[in-house]
Amino acid sequence: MRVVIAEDSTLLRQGIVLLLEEQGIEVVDAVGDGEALLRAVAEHHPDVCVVDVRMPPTFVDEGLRAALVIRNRWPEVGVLVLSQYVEESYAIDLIGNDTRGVGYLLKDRVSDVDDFVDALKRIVLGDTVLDPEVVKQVLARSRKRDPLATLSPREKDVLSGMAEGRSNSGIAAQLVIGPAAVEKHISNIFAKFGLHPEDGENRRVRAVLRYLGA
Amino acid sequence: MASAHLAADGISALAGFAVLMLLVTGICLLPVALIGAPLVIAAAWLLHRLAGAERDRYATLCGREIPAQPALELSKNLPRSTLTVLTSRSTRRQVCYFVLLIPVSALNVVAVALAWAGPTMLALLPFYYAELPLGRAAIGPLNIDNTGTALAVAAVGVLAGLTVSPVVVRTLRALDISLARTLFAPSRDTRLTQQVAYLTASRARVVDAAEAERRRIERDLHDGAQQRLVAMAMTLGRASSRLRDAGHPETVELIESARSEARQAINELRDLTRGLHPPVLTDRGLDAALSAVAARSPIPVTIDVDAVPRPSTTVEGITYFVVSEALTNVAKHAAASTAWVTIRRVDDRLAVTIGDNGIGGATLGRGSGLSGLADRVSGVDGRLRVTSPVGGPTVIEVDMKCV
Repeated sequence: MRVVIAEDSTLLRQGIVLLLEEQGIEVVDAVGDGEALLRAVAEHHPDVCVVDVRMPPTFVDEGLRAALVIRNRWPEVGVLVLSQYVEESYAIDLIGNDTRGVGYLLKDRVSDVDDFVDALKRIVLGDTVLDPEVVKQVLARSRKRDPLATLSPREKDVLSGMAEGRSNSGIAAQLVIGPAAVEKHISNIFAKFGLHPEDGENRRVRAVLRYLGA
Repeated sequence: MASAHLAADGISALAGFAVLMLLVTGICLLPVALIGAPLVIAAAWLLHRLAGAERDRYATLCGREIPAQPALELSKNLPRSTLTVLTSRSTRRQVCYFVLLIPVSALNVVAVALAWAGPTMLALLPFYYAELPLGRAAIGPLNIDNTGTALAVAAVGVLAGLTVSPVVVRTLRALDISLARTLFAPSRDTRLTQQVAYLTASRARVVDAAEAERRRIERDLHDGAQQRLVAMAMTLGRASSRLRDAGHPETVELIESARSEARQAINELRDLTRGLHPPVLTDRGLDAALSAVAARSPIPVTIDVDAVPRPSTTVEGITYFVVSEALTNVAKHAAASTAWVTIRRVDDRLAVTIGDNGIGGATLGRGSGLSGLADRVSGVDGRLRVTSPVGGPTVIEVDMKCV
């Protein structure tokens, strides 16, 4: 796996580089702002880039905007956005209409080395990885929205697992239920959202998008 | 000095007269398709400059500072500017001053001439007398026919020059100054208006500074302490991962507990900075920032924001603070099952309403959280009103100016 890192704090940038290298992951470039990130991606064509939201010169959502450009221009490059805060409006923008190979995590999740590396791997494989905090925000907000209001608490748990980018077996392990039960919940969710089998594998993505309110 | 000042009155009066003539010409030409309008405006401008020059003259020659009148605020619209000029109190007062200055300056110039030339001439009388072929001269009824009388008259002249003339000159100058003070200094109303404008501006600066300070603290924490804590958690994570591979379960446990403490500290710091001024507010405005607040609220909150164009950063900051604090109060005290927030921009005002279906009984009394919110709002000339009968519902209405 080849990774580009964009983070303006030298301390954190060095830390992430060391952490990934210790795990046997190749860091091809580490930069400090959005412009440099775009140049690095164009030059190295990494599998995935790790991007801090707030970077110079604007110190607002410079990194997020660079991430959107990467998603547009190089759709095959995975993007993991790290942020001090997770805000659903950022998540919705980032994901857009394409949930493949994208992640949005709180910055301090990096300290859980295994989870962080696992998230990167899943993104490279084309999964969506969302921070449980984002999922919590969306869940809290969606209580007033329609199709979601009809879901049972268990179905919501399953859906939030899907939004976090977990597989069926991953969700089963998380909720301590059998894989068959997970499948049953998922088909209920599809039914309640009016997603039909002919939509194919996309249904999973659609359900997550509906969940995010995108 | 005083005499120089009084003598200069003549020059000022001439200049004033010229400008007044310009003004009159302008006014006379006004009915003819507003041809006179530029003349009127030019005359008003010149009057203002002349008044400024007069003020300088009073300051340098008389040592009297006369407070300045506010400059006229003219728009691009010619007829409206003309009207502003003609109806302005300060223009009227300046016209009065220069009209009165014409007779006053004439009097002053003559008086100064008499006050100094008279005694000087009397003092020179003995020399004049000595040159006279007839040996006598007359000043009115006074007959001077010997050297003694001539010397006596000269003495009176010197005495007058030394004592009476300065008094006369000073009296006239005092008259002059009081004329200028009455007509040039801003009236009481104008002074109070100026003071209110000054105080309003300085309060706005203080409130802006406080908001800027909140943003600065948020940024400092974000770039400093938070980053360090994250880096520390990350190093602990690496250490834990290495030790696990090497097989030291007890030490891993210790490090994991340190890591969880660090995470806790990061979370607390995050909540704190979010309360100050979240970056998403600067970046995306009230809707996005308040959606995140609503999402974190333990009871369902409907947010409805229509604030285009965006209010000033300060007003956004205060609105964010008021809404998030009010929602915290609702969650803590209201026993409500739902709450709602609407924000509407109407022209240059922002109307914020926060309601819940709880038990009511909220008061704006001293020491309550609500009075703190009311204080924040009053900093930008806003009003906060609470309607909360016992039994509910509670509605908080805030009205603020957007800039």
